[in-house]
Amino acid sequence: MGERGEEWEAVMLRKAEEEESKAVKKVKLVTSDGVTMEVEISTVKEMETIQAFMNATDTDNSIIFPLPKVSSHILSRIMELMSGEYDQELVKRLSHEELKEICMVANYLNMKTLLHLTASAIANLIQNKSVEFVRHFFNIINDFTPEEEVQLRKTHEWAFEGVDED
Amino acid sequence: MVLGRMVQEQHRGEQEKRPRFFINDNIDILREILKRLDGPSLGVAACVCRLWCSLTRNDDSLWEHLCFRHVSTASVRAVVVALGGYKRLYMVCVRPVLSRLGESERVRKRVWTRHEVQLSLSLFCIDSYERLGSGRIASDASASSLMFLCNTINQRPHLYHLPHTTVSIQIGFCVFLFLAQQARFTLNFAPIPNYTWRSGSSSTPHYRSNLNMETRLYMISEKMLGGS
Repeated sequence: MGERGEEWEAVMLRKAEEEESKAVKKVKLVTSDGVTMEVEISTVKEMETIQAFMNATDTDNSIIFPLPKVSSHILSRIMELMSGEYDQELVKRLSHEELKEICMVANYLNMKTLLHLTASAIANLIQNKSVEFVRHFFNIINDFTPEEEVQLRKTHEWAFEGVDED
Repeated sequence: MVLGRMVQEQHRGEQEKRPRFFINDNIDILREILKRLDGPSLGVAACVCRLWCSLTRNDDSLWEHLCFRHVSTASVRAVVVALGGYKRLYMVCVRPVLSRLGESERVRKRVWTRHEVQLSLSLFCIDSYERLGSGRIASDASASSLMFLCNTINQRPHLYHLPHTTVSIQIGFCVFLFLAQQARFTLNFAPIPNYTWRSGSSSTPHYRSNLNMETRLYMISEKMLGGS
């Protein structure tokens, strides 16, 4: 009887410990410039790529997740956007470079809301703009031959009415 | 300007050596952006570079987003695909109708009513039907009966004077064509040579003169239903 009771106590204790460790479990994100950012597990929920990794490994210790494609600057911007519940005003304040990089990271980490938000913002920036503007915006080199380009512009003539001035 | 850029470059160098974002290395993202553009902007995007050109040409789902940004129905997908795809639907029907409605922001952002959706699908059906008859290879040009949509605005044949019966007949035909394709039913009827599509309030009597098309349609569908 007494032995059983002890066993029971031990089980309960272990369970409590487990729960405690789960509650304070944190994720360490290591950015490309070597900065480690410790975040709550709830923050990572939206980052489906990391979430999938965590589900697959299921370790007790806190997880270290390297993000070789993400700089600390961009990661902190993302944290701002997440804590601001993806406010449009916050998005408007980002520079074009920041916007593009955040979009890339959102895709990499599979963050659906953030990807939608940033892709829409970028689409808005190139909407109604000239071909030259779009090339310059994305640093794209024109790889058409002059003849090809003339031909393409002819077939897409309908699209060039009412394009904004650069 | 050059100096400004140099300073910027230097600034970036100082900050950190972060990987530079290049959109063409991230086709997933490119697709996410392209599918959020309006029609003319997607047309402009096709002229940016070879990669963008082939994406807009080969990825019909981009045009699907464009055609049905205004509509919540997913059920028409199979019909549209069977009739020639979303790029064609956009080029032949949605764009001319939109441009006739005017370029205002209000029009572009507005959600289409069921009738507008039906109308564009009906027009598409006509296009598909004509291609079937002529055996032309799909291009972005409209079928000859639909050329009135692309004519100068001055003529203004008013689309919305189309009687509902005409629209529903066309929709019926559209569904019929789809069913026919699904059932691998051979479309062995010849295209009606004098069949032309005109709009305006006088379209009902005009349509009546083409009753033989409806009759044929009825007979074919009867035959099909009787066979199954």
